[in-house]
Amino acid sequence: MRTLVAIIVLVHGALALATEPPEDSHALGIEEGNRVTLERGDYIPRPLDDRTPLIVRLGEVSPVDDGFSYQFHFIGFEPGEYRLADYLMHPDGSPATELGERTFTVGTILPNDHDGSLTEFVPSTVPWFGGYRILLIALGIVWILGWIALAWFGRRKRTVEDEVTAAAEPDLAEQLRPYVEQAAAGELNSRGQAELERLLTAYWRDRLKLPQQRMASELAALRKHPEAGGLIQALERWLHHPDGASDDEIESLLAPYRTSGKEAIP
Amino acid sequence: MIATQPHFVTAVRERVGEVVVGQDVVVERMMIALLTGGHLLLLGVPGTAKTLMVNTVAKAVALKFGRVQFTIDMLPSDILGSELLDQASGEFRTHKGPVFTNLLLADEINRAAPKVQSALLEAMQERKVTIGNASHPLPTPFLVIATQNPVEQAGTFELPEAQLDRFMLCHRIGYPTPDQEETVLRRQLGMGLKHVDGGAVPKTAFDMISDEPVCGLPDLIAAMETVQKVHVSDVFMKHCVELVRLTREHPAMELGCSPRAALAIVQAARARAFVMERDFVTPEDLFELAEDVVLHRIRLSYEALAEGRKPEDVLEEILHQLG
Repeated sequence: MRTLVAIIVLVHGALALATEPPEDSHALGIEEGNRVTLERGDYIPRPLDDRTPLIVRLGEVSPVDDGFSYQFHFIGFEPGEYRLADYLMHPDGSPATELGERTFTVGTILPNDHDGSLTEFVPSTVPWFGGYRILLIALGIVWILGWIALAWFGRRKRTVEDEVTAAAEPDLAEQLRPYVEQAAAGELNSRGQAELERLLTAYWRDRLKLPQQRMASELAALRKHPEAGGLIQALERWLHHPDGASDDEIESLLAPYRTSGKEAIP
Repeated sequence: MIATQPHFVTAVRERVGEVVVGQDVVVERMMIALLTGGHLLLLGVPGTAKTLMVNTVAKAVALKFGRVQFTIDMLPSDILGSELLDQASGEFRTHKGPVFTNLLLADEINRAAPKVQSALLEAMQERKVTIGNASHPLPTPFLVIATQNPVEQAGTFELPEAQLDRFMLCHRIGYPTPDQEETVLRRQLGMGLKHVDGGAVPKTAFDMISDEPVCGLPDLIAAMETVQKVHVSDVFMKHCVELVRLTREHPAMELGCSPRAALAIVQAARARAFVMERDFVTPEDLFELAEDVVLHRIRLSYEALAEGRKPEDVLEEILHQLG
């Protein structure tokens, strides 16, 4: 087991060493820093022109035990190996030849064996799938489906309610009958009498199919009708006149509405 | 049949008919207001004989008549009166305003500022006026007939619902029929000139009003007493209560009728029954008066107005539920 672990560590270490760039290598086009210890502390950057493949900026100089520590900042525009002596000089302008062959490297972005050709663009078979546009379209479809579902279920519910209402709503003749029976028995209170008067008026308005107009005009038209007029006057005498109406008058007034069956009502 | 009716109502109607052509319903509403002591608001365009009718009724019943043309620069004291310093005696003297009359015509009431409207409406409600520290009762009977022009709204102050509620009736005056209008023209042609102080001007309908009253205050009071005896059945009151309830619960309504509306319907229905020579009220009175009693007391909701619904249509819908 130990042997296996040792082998894995060794292989991994070897691979890491093989893929890592050299220690003094710097990326192309990106400013990077490097600290170098030199014997003298008075080096200054050499002036450069606009065609230089490398820019060197001197950040800080501080004394250390074995000389002076220089903080350099590099920006490389072309890959290659550069001598430090070509970018520094003495304060009097003389070249810093004593730096010898101290170099640093600017690495390449592409592999060394790249032939320079660009990567060919291969369009995807479903270019829109998973994009923002498809997300919006999907949300739109869901929104529309939601409305359709609401309309569908609402329509179904209303239809059911209409059926229930149609089934439950009695016609005017059926609504009249219980009030007429109570009145004939002398058990109708004033609230019931008011409702009976409304229903009888509505019944005759409905039956004569009067054109829709002011209620006062419709009542005046009912008064002029030979049958309805008599009923309205009899109702007024019974329900509103201080002397009221006799039992016989009430009986004869309500008789046509007491007979069971729709056909019996005049 | 009511005994005093022919003498009072018919006499006043005939007198108005001598001067005004048509407008029978308006005269009927004025009679109702007079008989119940309720105030009347007339909505109508200018030239529909509002002032002429009020003037004629006042003279026919021998009532003290006052007319105030409301304007924006009026003050409450212009209506109610004020205390003036009598320089001779050095004491304050009460000057009573035009409100101290039996029948006050408040012309174009919506042109006055709200404080003036409030002062008048308060006097209408309480039937007394406070000037300085003293309270003065208004003459009896006291009736205000106010007018509003529904067309010109620039420079007007609309009466709020709470103040409109003080008016028992609000009647919308329509134009006369073509035949009636022709009769008006023919009458005007035959009026001739009025000679005054050596000069002359063409006579107007106001010059045709007779100064001789057809009845007096005792007749009016007797008629008012008879109105109070008109029978109102329990069933009729149920109809009234149902009407105001429906206005409050209708989905298109933001503001329904106040309890004062139900009281106004019953009072006005009694007076109408008297005018129609009945001693009991019927649903016909309710349906005839509903528009004048209810419409100025209700307000439709914003949604109903946005749908283009009108208060009169909603009221008719309610009335059709009642009958």
